[in-house]
Amino acid sequence: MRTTLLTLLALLSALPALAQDHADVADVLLIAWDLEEADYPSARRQLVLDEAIDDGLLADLAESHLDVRVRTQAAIVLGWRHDAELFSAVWTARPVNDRRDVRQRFVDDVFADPDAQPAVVERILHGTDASLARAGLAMSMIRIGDDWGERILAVLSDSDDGKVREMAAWSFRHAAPESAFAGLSLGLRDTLPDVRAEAARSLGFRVDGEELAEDLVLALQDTDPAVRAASARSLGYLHVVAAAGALTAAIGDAGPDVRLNALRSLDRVDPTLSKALPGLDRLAQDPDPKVARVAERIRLR
Amino acid sequence: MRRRIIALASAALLLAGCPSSEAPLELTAEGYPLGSLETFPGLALIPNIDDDNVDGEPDWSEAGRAAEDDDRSVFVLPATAWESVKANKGEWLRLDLGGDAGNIRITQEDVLILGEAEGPNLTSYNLTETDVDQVFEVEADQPLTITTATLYHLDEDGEVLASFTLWMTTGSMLLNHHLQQTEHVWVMDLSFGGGSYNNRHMVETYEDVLGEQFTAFSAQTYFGDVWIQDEVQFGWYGAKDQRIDVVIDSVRDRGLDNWPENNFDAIPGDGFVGGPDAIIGTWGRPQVANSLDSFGNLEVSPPLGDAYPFGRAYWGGDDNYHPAVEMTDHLADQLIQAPFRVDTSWLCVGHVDEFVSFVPDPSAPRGFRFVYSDASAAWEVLEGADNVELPKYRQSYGIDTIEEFVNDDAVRYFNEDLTEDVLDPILDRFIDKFDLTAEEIIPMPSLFEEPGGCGGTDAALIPGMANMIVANRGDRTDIFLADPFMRDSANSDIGQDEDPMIAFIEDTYPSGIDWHFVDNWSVYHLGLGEVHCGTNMTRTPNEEWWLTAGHLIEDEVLN
Repeated sequence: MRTTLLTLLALLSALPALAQDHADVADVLLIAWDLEEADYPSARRQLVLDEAIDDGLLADLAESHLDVRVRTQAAIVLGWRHDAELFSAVWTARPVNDRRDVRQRFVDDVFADPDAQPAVVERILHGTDASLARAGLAMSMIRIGDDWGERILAVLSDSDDGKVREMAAWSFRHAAPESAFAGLSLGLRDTLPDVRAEAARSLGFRVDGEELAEDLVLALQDTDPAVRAASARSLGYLHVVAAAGALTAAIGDAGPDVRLNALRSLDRVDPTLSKALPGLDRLAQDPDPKVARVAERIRLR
Repeated sequence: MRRRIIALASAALLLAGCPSSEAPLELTAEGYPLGSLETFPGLALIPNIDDDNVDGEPDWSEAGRAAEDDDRSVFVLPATAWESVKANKGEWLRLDLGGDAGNIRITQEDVLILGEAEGPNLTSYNLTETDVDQVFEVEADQPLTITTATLYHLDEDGEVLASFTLWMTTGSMLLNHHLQQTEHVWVMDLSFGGGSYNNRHMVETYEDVLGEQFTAFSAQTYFGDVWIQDEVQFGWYGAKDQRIDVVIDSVRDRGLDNWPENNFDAIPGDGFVGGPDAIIGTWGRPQVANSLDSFGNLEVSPPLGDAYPFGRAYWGGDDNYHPAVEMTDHLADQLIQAPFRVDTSWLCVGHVDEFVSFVPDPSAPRGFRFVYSDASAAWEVLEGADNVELPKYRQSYGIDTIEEFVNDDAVRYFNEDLTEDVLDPILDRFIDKFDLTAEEIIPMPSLFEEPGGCGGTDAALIPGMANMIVANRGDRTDIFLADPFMRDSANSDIGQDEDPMIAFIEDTYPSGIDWHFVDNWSVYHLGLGEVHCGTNMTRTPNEEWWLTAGHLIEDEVLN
């Protein structure tokens, strides 16, 4: 739910009377976080200039508030107060086109500065960039280092842009466990199949991905075949022995990529079981040449 | 056209069987082996479609001979041909044009005698007796125009006493391959400024090695577009002592869109895109262009023996996702390089230059080795290497050390699957199409990953070293490729002698190559391309297609 700029301004005008209460300031920051693109710049400007919200309080909130959105918004306000040059550089940086025009990247050195994280999040959520550039901003987060995972989690939670959420789900391959699991769990439940598939693929590339093995097994029932295929693959990458039954069932899937990944993953999880699979001869004749090739290899082993 | 050519060939065969007079009757051309003019493809022609006099019109379309026009082939009627004619009163010589007369002109002393003309085409010409050799110049309009000039010795009743048929064929467009000599190399320069996003090391290396044969253009001028391999493909039309370069301008139309015109169009806006000895051509429509229309996705093998003396062209895609049909049909129509498709739908960018190449090797059966991306070779190198920190991989991939690489199950499984599903079947296809033997194939250590934003398709994890530039100058071969950074250094000037990937290549690849591992990480590798993607070059044609490749045209047009 979005709140209007007027509400924020009313709250800001009342702030001195609130005696620097953490909860009230956090509310104000959350309202700003949720503002639409057009309203946000003036709201942020108000927050940056408002002397009623002192730096110490903002630093406390940025450091230790339970809600990552509050932490990030507090860091944004502090950043604009004390590191405006860095934040401006983030906001004015232009993306470069990768070799394929499905990707853009931000390559300025400011994107390697951990202090730039809040500005990047702010630009993703409140900038006027096109979708590819927003996704490029999300990708730039992993270059920044430090604990960027929770910031990406905030982006994943709040971005309306499917490309951004897909990139966020990909970036969790490299994030610290806590935010990665929260983010990938969220990603597996996204409304867009591309995001769900990316989350399922990302889990397979995490050494600790088995933590969400049950979610992956559930995703074998997803309505989208790309999600089912990615989940099947990751269960094999992660050696989830308990998924053998679900993988065996998935070998009968209508989607060839699902059959391929389920068969291969079953073979990784339990080679004895895959070798003894009743339908192996039939799979060796599968209309999909990749499935047939893997089945034949197992059959001849 | 095929039916007409068959009739033409049949007529030529019949006449060859006619009784001949005692005097030699023949047409000749300098540099053609005995008997080669009488058989297909005969005299090689070049399509006269450049603009040698820089007037904004293709030379063929001009009335009369354009100034400086040098795109004509020559044949000669020796004076000796008249000896037996003179001896018998009433006998005479006639020259008849057969085949596609509307796309050819034969002139004698700049006077049109046969071929395309205002009104009906001229197809027969009575020759005038002379004591000197008569010289005929031939120009053509279209590639693969096939014609004959038949010289008849006739008696006073018009009966044929003898004949000689000269075949004439206009060459098709040929693309360059990695064994040809290098003429000039281009890269877009991003070496300005102080940031880490630059290609300074790559540009400086090219400058040091290639000197005046290298030019770096400002990438800023072209909106930061560094992918110059993708923007243009160089080809050529050739006949004896004639050459027209073909600059194929991609429909990708990104920042480098105007680069071909800026560098190969003699007078921009004059209505003709090209100039003396060069034309710019485009096939396809920018409105529906996709990544596969870029020319990193169009490559050519070296000569494949007598079967394909100019190699075979290949490009990537699948049934649903492919380059512009106008482009691939045009390539197929050229016949000599017999193009084929391989599956590149598994790649994010989707270009064939991402995983396959060729290097020269005089000791190899056919003078080259086929370079193919190979995950097993990569694991072999990594498993045999000392465990060291990997600062470049830490920064971009979160992989800290070689040991972490080796123990990464997911990366290993991913590449195993890719090999089984994609790379091995594609290799089988290359083996079939190029008739490769095991000893001709040389592995390039390669691992792939799924980059963000690519929807689960793939790109190089270790910088793609198969994506290389081969520069041949005389007997010297320099190869420029990505620094793999498989060592505790983020600087290309430091530690290359300790890099196990570099050591593998230097130890196992053909001797006599000067290797240049350049830092292409920030600009190219992370942008889903490598050294080849960011470089382009012109090369010198080095074979006479009319002597070696006629069978590839003949099979298609005469059978």
